[in-house]
Amino acid sequence: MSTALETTGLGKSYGAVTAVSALDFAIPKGLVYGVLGPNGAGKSTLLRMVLGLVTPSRGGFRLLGENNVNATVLRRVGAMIEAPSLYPFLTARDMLRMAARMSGFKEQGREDAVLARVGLTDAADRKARTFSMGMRQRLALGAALLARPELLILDEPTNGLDPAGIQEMRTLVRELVDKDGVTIILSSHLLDEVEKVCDRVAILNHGKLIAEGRVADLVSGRGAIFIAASPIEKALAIAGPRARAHAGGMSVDIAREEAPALIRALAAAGVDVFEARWLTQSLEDVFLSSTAPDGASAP
Amino acid sequence: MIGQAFGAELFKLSRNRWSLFWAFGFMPVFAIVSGIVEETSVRAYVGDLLPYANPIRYAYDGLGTTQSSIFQVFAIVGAAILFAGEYRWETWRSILPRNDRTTIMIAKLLVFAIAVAASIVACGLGRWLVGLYDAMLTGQADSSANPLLGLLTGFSAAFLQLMVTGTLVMLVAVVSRSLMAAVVGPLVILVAVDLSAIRFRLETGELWLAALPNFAGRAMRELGLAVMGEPDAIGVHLAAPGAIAMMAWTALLAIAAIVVFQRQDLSRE
Repeated sequence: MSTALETTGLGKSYGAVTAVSALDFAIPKGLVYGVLGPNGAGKSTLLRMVLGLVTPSRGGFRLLGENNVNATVLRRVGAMIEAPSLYPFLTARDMLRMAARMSGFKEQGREDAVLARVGLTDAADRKARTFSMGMRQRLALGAALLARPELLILDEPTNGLDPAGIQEMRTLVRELVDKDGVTIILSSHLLDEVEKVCDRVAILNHGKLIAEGRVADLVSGRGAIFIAASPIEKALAIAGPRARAHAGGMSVDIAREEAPALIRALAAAGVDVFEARWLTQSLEDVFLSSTAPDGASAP
Repeated sequence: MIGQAFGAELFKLSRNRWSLFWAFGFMPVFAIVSGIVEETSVRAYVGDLLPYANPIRYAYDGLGTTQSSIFQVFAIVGAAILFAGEYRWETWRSILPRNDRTTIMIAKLLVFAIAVAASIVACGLGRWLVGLYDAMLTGQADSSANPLLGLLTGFSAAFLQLMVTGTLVMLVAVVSRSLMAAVVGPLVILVAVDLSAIRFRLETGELWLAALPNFAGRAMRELGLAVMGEPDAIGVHLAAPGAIAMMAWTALLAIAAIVVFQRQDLSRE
């Protein structure tokens, strides 16, 4: 599969401070890719490097298959980084017109179509200085979508949106990927949102990549099975040191292929097995356990 | 790409009407209004000082008013809005992925040049209208020799001097990343140069004076007067080196700003 972004030892330092260490990862095309990390993890620096706003201190990257990332390549990318940046004296429509001129993008009626898509048709001729945070966010998203990008970079896209707006944003993100074939890199602190929308995620901490993979794999990859059995003492003894009492049953840290043998052993020993299911964890659990300081554990 | 960036920058400035007026539109309006008030008052209280009026000379003086410190303050504000506005509104991240850094800076400089040129021409036209008004009051109009060449020289003097100011603002804006610093910094430099210039006189004809934009501009203006047949023009021989010096200052400051901007990390605007 071709990649939207591929980094090789990509890093950035400001003096003695390392914002991004040396990242090696690839983002395939055609999916929503989440970038997670606590404050100062290096997410924004990574995205700013990709957009040419910050020069890497080391390493490099390929963007949309191109090694030489110049304005021509970046015009295939739409971006909304951190807080929406708008000219206060421009109306929503003029903001899009200005962006189109700067990009050399011409398509009759595109501005109005984009304003409709982000729900700002009624505010098209209002100046950006009068906009609420949610409206500013929508307009910035519209500007990012304007030139029909192949890759969309969204940094905290739901900031300032009300619950209905967040739901619309989720729907829009999935539509862009599933119907329009856009690749989206989404950075967010809202782990629930990321879990619902993203196909793959990367977790950064202190500028390092500490976990990467499909969301489904990350949340189910704990390797523990929950078994409700009776008598539980006998079950715990059979399962051995990898088992511990858990919520009226026991949890056992075992590989997937060991599970049938364990259940057969319990049944053969006369233990009644009422329930057996793999324990999953939320993305939040994965995130917190991945980013917890050394020696600390996630709750 | 330069055409696209230029179109976008021009569009942006045209929509920023309040700033556009105060930076580039106020002085021409002021030139007309103050001129008409002045001519009417003089005629009412003093009478005809001269039995004729020369609208071309009025237009020439109008071009020269743009070299005054007051006008330069307005031009500094205009340049600061163009070059430091992206830092003020944190909009670099919106436009940089759409075009090349150098191209955008050159486009901004072109827009500034056009706005300044239009403002200078409007000042000249405004004073020319005042000259026509004066001629109407006195009932007799006079003209100058080589008016077009003279006016062109006067325009070039004002334009080059303001371009030096504009590119100074450009450099300070990029280095400081601040709208306030982009206004105050060049203003302080302008005042310092004006104050230090009090000690020197164009009449001495010393060549090094041509390196100072205010002396270079004045020498070019004197050349324009000489071209139009004024007998008492001074320091004319400094006009050519002055023009070269101002072009060199403009190029040097613009290149420095672009080089700094090319290497600038916009982790925060």
